[in-house]
Amino acid sequence: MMKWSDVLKFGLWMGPLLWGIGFIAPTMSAVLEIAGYPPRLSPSAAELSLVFGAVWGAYARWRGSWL
Amino acid sequence: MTVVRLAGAGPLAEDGDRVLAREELAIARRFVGGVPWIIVVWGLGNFFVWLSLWPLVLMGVLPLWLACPIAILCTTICYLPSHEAQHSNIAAPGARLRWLNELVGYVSTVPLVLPFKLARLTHMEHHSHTNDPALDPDYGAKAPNWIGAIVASIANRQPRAMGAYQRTAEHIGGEVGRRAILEALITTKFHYFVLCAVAWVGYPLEALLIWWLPRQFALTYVQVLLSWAPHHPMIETGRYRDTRAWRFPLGNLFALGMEYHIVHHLHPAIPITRNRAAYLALRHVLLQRNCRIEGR
Repeated sequence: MMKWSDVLKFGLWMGPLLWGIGFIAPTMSAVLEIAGYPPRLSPSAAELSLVFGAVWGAYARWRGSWL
Repeated sequence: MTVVRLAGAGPLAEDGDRVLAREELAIARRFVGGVPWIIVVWGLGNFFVWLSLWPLVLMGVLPLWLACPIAILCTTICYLPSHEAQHSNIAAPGARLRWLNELVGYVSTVPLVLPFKLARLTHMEHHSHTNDPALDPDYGAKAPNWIGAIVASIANRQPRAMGAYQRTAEHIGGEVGRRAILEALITTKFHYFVLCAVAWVGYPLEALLIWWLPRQFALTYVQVLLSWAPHHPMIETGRYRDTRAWRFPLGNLFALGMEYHIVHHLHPAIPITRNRAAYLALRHVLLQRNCRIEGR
């Protein structure tokens, strides 16, 4: 059975990915909207940002660096 | 106090050494004592200014473009009051105003998200082992120049970098180290959670420009000015050689008072607001001690 401490450790290990989805995505979406990203375009600014944030977060997790 | 005995010195030189040590201490004592209220006002006032940016921006009273540089300023100058509290310079343990010392320590660095317990613990280690590659938690700031120091600061914040502060707390161990790490973990993760929550409820740019970006800028500025510059090139240890008096091109104010950091390392009980005066009074002693007086 999984312990709470294991869940916590996994959550910390996933930190960059969670940050990519939790912060980078909504921030990028807001920036795109201000920059005039067409509202009816597919993918939408939110969808595009979510993918970008998740990929960047996964990259940071894998490489150990955001850069 | 460590009294350095010069190589080959006889009894007379040793006596001179003691006289000099006594003189240094007597001068330093003139600058110690009392509650440095300006530090208290600075620490708490600065925090409330930063905090007030949130409602002012969210209510549309203050534009975000103006709030951002104010937040950067607040976050950059917020460390120093906490630094004084780390040294118990506002009130010593057991003193009537001890609670105020701890309040300033905890509250002033909220914008910087610097956990006070860990900061105090590791800072004392920094003082005990300045420039020691294995034991100084600030040794990671070592770099050949300003650009290198900025790069090192950013690199030390990447996911793969195991925090030197955490390593130091683990090395210290025991209940003190464990509690410091736990507090730091809760504080930093809570910070990230709050930023994500604020972003997802519709204020991502506010979170970015009032907290995340100012914090990144301030961490770099503070680490370069406080950890790197006063100890550069970090190759010498010893009371009178591990820190320098130096000159920052933009002046002592923009150096966050670090031009006279040598005084702080010799006599940490002197508040930063009196470091310059203490330096001027101590300068002849520092010269006799072969201290690193550079450009002053």
